[in-house]
Amino acid sequence: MLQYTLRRLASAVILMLFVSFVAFALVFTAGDPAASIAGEGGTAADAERIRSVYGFDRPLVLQYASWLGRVLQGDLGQSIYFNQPVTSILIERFQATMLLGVLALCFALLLAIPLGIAAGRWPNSIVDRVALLFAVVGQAMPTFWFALLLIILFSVTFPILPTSGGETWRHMILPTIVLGYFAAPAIMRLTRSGMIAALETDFIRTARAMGIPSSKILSSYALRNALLPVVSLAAAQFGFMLAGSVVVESVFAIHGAGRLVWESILRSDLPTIQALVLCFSMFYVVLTLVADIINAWLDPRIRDA
Amino acid sequence: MDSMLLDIEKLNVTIDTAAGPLKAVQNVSLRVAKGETFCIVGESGCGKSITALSLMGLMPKRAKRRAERMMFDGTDMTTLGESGMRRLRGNRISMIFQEPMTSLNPVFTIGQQLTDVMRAHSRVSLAEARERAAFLLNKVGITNARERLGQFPHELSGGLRQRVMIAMALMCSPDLMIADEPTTALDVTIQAELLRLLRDLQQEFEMGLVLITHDLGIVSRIADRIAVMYAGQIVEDGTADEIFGNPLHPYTQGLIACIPSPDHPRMQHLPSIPGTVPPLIGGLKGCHFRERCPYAMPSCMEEIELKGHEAAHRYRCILPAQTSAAHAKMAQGEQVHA
Amino acid sequence: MSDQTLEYRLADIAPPRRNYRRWLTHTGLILGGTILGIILIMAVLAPFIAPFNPYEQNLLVRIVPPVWMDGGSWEHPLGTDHLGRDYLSRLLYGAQVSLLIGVGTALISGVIGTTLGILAGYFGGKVDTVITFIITARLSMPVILVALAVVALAGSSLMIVMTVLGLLLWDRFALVIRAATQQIRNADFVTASQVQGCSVFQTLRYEILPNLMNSLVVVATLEMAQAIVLEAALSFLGLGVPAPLPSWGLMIAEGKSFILFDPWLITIPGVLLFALVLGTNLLGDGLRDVTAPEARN
Repeated sequence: MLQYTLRRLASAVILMLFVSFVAFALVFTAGDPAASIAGEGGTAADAERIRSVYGFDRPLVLQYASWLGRVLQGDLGQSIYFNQPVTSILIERFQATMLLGVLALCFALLLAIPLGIAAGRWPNSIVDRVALLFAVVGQAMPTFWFALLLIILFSVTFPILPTSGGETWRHMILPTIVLGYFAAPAIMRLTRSGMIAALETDFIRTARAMGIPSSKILSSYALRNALLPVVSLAAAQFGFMLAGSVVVESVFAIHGAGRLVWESILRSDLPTIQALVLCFSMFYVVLTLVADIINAWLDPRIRDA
Repeated sequence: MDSMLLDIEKLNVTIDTAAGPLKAVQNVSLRVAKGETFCIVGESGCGKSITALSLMGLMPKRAKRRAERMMFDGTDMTTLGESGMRRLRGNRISMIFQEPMTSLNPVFTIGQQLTDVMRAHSRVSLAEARERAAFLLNKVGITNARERLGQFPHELSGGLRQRVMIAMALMCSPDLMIADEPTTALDVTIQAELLRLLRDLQQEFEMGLVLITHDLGIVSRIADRIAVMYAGQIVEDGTADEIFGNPLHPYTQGLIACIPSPDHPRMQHLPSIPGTVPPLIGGLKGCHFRERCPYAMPSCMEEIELKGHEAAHRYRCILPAQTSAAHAKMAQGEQVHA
Repeated sequence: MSDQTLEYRLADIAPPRRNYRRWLTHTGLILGGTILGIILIMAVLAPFIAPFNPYEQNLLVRIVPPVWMDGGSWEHPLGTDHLGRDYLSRLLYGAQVSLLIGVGTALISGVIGTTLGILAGYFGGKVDTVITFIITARLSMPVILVALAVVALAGSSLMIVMTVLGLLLWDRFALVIRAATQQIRNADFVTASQVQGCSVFQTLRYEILPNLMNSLVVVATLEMAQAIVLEAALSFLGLGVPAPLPSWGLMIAEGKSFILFDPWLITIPGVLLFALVLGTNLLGDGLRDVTAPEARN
């Protein structure tokens, strides 16, 4: 297990280095950063001055190396708009986003896994049809539109929940539903197919032939196997949800990292954008790493491989 | 027949398929006495496994079971329902399967799977159950039994996993064990060891044993009684001595002729029965074996009942005299196991 | 004989199912195809059936509600927006934008993903390791974030949105095609081609690629749906296709300011967007069930 974890950790570090380079280079290849910072009123001379001040005239790899060196010390640069260290802004902003992400993940799992189990236990039943409908609708529903529909519903028809801001727990309900419903269909479908596959295995036949009660077969023997792939998917979905917070936080006016992405892009705040792309990517790498380690812990075959 | 452990009368299993109902098992009657070894023999697709699974109440989803009588040790199994059958399964009747590599749950330890069986049927402490599990692992020839309890299935070889399966089936000291092709997936040397183990355990635990196999050769060593199945029907049954000494159905004769024997080691050609088991969709009329039978004649189109004396020997063929004469000729120079 | 062998035997003896019957009986396939067909017709016929020029502003008739609401009229069956532009006409032209983005993105990402997938699946070994690493790296970069940043920096136009999404959405192509190629790499007809002395390119082009067509069509359909949603989301955030192009996402964004009093400005384009994505997803799922069930993942 330790050996597996170390090996998996090493590959995650390599991946992080590569992804951080791409995140860094992206901003430079997509446009001229100096011109962006100078803004629409800036002259060529302004851009030139910015270029030498920020060191944009040095080779990309050198710039990356010095940037990475600073990042490793926790320095993500200085925000052009706020004129503050990006690190402190991000720490503040990611609190809301993480809270939202965790709430949405819990909501998605609580919704999708029981539904997936029921649908897999009784394929083609009414439950299964309802679950399928739920999944198909969820996968086709654009997040921002669903968010607006809920706002219409709760601000006009049933004004019982706040539809804007993120100050109290009641503010988090609608964003959690929107983001959770975005992630739930895939988890539900995988749970369902995992359950169906697990229930058809030889070892479930063995358990039945040995008189293990069917409740135990379902909740332990089959579920444990059915949920193995769901762990990886849930981690990936959590990553997608964090990215999806860009849209949801913008619609619900939540003061989080997702909204900061949007704001920074509109403000051409390059160091902040760069740091955000880096952070969101790193979260994804860490999440998949954690998922793999959980999987190894749940599945002895991976552990020893 | 009070002393009978298992008494099945006219068991029928029908499976719904896209192409129509498939009569996988037709009017199968069998009786197994306490402590007896009863073998069901036949090629793949003859309905042996379905017969066994339906005895356990574990039919595939689309299968329907119908029987005139299904008694286990004086209890009518048709009236038991799922919860009653569950209490029987693994407790008084247990079953082991052909696929040792996939029959154990990959994510639980051997110990957990063994103890779960015992704790599903009786109120014992975990420590007691583990004690029993270690004792049985030892019994089925696994060394370091206590260490093995903490291991996962993928850490064991196929032969060891099948031993674990046997130990699992013995956890509650069942009265009857059904073994469905238990050695088919294993190496030949391990096959022999496992069969000997099964026979020893059967005697020690005084269980009834129903052994299902396509290999008549392995049956000769341990069977008390044999039923030969072909295309969903029993075509011949009787004591092992009778079946091997005086096979009356051409299919049985064919199977016996196919047994490789050390007495005629370098035969140029191991005989085989030409053709394959016919599809069972719709209804087969007359003798199911007639298309592959060397002695088929027009009257084989008619329905044929089992004839003979139940306790000793029955057969489903219109030509016992002729075929037995033919068999005698076939057997010349080929010493048949008795 | 286990259950499983019984199942195989059933498959052997059951008469071969006719494929077209499965096509016709698959509800999702029919429904998805119909929805997509209707929207395709809307897009193609937009220049002929749209009652107004979608860009023509008429500030005298701003925010006229649709015909079934109070104050609506048949002159503007679906009302007008905040600049007095005819909503129906904008919606019809908006179908063009969504479909163009969907198809264009699927083409670009399809070429990239298929190339990588085939190379990884066919050669295996180091090539596979490198390409798998690239796929993992790509998956680590959140699509919407990177797309937003790049579009903002590179400027927004239909072409740029399409290209950026195409450069980002190839991962599923690569994964599915890689797996499918691994499966057929050792098939007899591939070996035969190699033995006959065909070049690697010929083998890939004439033996492997045609056998991947089913999976490709399925993934392309599903990617199309994803591209359509992403374009709408980018446009909604003001960083997708530029105004005054009639993108449904942009229309929803423009309606946002009127959410309390005229929610229909949001619901109508949203319903169309939802229907288009639903139809495309259903079609993709249906095609997969019918033609390439192995691509399910």
